[in-house]
Amino acid sequence: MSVAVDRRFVKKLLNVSLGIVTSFGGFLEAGSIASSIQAGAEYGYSLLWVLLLGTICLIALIEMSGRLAAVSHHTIASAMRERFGLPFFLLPLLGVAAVSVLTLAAEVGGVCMALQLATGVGFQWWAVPVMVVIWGLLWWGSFGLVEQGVSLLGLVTVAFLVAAVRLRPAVGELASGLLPSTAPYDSGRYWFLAVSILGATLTPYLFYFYSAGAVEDEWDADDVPANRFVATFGMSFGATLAAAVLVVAALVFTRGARVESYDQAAPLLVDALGAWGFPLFVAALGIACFGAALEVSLALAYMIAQGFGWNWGENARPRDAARFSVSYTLALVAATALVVVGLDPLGVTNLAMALNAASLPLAVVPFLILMNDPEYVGDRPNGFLANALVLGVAVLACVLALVSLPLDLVGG
Amino acid sequence: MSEVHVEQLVGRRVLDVDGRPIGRVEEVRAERDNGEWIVREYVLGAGGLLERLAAERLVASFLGPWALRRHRHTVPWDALDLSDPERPRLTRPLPAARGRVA
Amino acid sequence: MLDLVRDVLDKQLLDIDGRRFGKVDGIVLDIRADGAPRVLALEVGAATRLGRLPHWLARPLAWWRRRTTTTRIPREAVLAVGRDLRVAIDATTTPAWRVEAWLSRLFAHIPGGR
Repeated sequence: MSVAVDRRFVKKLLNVSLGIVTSFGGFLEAGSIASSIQAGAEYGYSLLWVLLLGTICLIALIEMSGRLAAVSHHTIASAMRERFGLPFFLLPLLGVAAVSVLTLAAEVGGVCMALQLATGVGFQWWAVPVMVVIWGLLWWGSFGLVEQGVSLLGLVTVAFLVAAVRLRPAVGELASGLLPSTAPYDSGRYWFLAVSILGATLTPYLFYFYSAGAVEDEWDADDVPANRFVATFGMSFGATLAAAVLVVAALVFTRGARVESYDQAAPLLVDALGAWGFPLFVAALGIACFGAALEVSLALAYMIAQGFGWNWGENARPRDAARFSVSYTLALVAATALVVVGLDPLGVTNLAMALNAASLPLAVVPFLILMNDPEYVGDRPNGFLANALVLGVAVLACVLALVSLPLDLVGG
Repeated sequence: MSEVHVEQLVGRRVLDVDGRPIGRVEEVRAERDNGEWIVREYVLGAGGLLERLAAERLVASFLGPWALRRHRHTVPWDALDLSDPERPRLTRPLPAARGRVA
Repeated sequence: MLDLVRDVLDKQLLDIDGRRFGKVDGIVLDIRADGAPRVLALEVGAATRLGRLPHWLARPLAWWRRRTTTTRIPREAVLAVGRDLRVAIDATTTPAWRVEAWLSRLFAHIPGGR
């Protein structure tokens, strides 16, 4: 009797850790850190409302991923292939995969930059060793190891929150930042940063990863309420951390200062945390990006293997899920190549986030169709509000991206 | 004996006896009979993208009572000539009560 | 009534040992001179998948289609049609398993597993 009770309790605990790890490695990663620092430095608190909007939309999407997995026992990719057939599945697959590889390059680049900041050795030299470590963890580790390891190590990012509190931002000003506003100056740049924040918050790999994790952790219909809690709490926590980064940047950098590289961002925490500031920034950047790299790699392998019906799973031995293992290997190699050739990690991050935003409708619309199909979600389909919110934000992000990306490329 | 692939048939435009397009193949319904799976009927749909992705529930959640109406024709197996699988044709006209509004 | 497109095509295939070895990429109908068409076999394989791409995409990839195989699963081998399709076949003996088997042998040289 007590064994059965323990198992359910442990299972609930694991549910929570999936939410936490998705918030650490998923939410706060290269894109969120970079876009929050830039947004805070250049526009103060004005862009906080974009982060809030993106977070609400993300909570809805993560909750949907979990619900789909719990009720249908299908992951998003698997359900998409089965529901739409092969030709219509390939379009979102290729779109999301391409953008995810670029995102993975941004994460690997982030880890390498953290190591460059720590040691002085150029980031390109770190690319291959970092790739090998990530690969090794995926090859020899289990899903539980990835989940819990990233959750625990990711706690170092709380340093951002501590710094924000210590700098004592004016609460009134913070609150007004949470209300939508137009650009105080340089509209093109303002909306480009808004797109970056949305793209960084709403990365598709996150919900593909979450749905696969829910299936790996064997959720069922009973887990739907807990899933709602986990999605809300986990993503809110991640968003709070991202907001903290933005607030610190707003208070530390001169208004309008352009942060062009991670080097320039490095002194972020020094004002608030003194001598600990620099090492903590390096550690937080490195660990958050490392966790995200693990998740993006897995998400890519999940999408491909599940879409084609191969054996998949981080808990499986590589020999038993050979094509799955090859998928994340190839994804890592491709992403690392972009870092090795010396592309500026911050530039890659900005581009990846803009493309994430631009491709959102492609990633989200098929997902929404599934979430309204009783064959997959039984008697728990999406309500009108959820559909409208997610679709609205996805279309907004895409339109903004298509408009502002060329403007920024021309202007910057 | 000739072979036709269902996955190639799906989405193909179907012509009626007069050569006019009448819809696209959407579904193939079979019955389990004595261990065999015998095709009983084909479902033809209007063929628009939204229909083929069967997104009407998502659309319905926005449009409510003004949601799209699906026009489907269900034809028995012997009403469809598959001698040229790339150009399926009806072998006889559809009954007077054209199709079903679902 | 079995809806072949909705309930069979693109569904997950599980072999006799519960291994996932692909999704149903194709369904072969036998058109008879006398009587209704009947389902002959299911297909899984890259060649079948490539055949489903639109013409403009499939033509440049014709060389690939010539080099890959496709596995036919006779209808009699289908055990159950549910969320997944269970078939009475050992996937490791089929062409569909070729790539997986080759990779598995490669991995034997790397300390794999836990």
